[in-house]
Amino acid sequence: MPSRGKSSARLVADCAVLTALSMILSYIDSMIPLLPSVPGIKLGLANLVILVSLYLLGFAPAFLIDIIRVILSGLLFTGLSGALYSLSGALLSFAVMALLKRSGRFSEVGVSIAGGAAHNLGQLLTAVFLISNPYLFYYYPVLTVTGCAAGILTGFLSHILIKRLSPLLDG
Amino acid sequence: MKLFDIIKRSDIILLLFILLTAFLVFIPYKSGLYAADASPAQVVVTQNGKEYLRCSLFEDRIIDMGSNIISVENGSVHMKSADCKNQVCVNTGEINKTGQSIICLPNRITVRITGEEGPDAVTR
Repeated sequence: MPSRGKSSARLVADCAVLTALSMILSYIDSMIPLLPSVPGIKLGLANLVILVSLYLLGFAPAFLIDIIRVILSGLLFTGLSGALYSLSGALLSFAVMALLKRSGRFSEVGVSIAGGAAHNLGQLLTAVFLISNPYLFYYYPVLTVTGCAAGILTGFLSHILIKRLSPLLDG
Repeated sequence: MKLFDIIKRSDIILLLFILLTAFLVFIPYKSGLYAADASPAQVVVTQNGKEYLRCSLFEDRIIDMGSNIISVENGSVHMKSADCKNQVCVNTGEINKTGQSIICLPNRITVRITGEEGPDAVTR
């Protein structure tokens, strides 16, 4: 269970390692375009780290890792306007994932799929708002279908990782 | 396969629901509801949500917006250059069908084609 009997120094160290890992995965995400013709489609590997932290460290640490990841990788890789899009996606995605996880009805795969879909939706809504062109919504089907496929993949991976990492991170 | 055992019934319902929303958005797009005006194809450029320029798709021209240069050539449009970091708009390549668009998020510019496409405009 989250941080029971774990020293705060240990928790900080775990969060730091996971944040670094999620930033590397964000970078790898940005380097692998799944469909070069449609911008914004990525594997979402960084979400793996968020899922694992959500399950093993709990709500607050996972939220911190998510926010720090978005701000830092935004500053490093995509620039501030990019960070704004990622942030809205990340916030919505995290809220949805935390809710679904808490409901207890879904496996990691379901949580991951919903997180991916929410991320796309959040970014799209921000883009529609900033550009004030509702026309952008025609990206939604492509984004969602590929997002579901990627979500299933990261869901399976996170299930394995959560099992393997729980002795290390729960300690 | 052991991995598939972890999927619950609610996961599958959730997946189907999300895919359904994608499908529901897709139908009106495919049936041309978003491109309802029947005038010959036009290129509409917007910046910060306001219309910047509207011109025919079939008259070649270069639109220089400072940060971005848009080229209209032989009934198709492409983003010739952009000063942004990610170059997503430039990499979009050529668009030539009604409803397609090029979007430059950093500079808040959209280019889209409205109205009928060349051959259809003649036959209808």
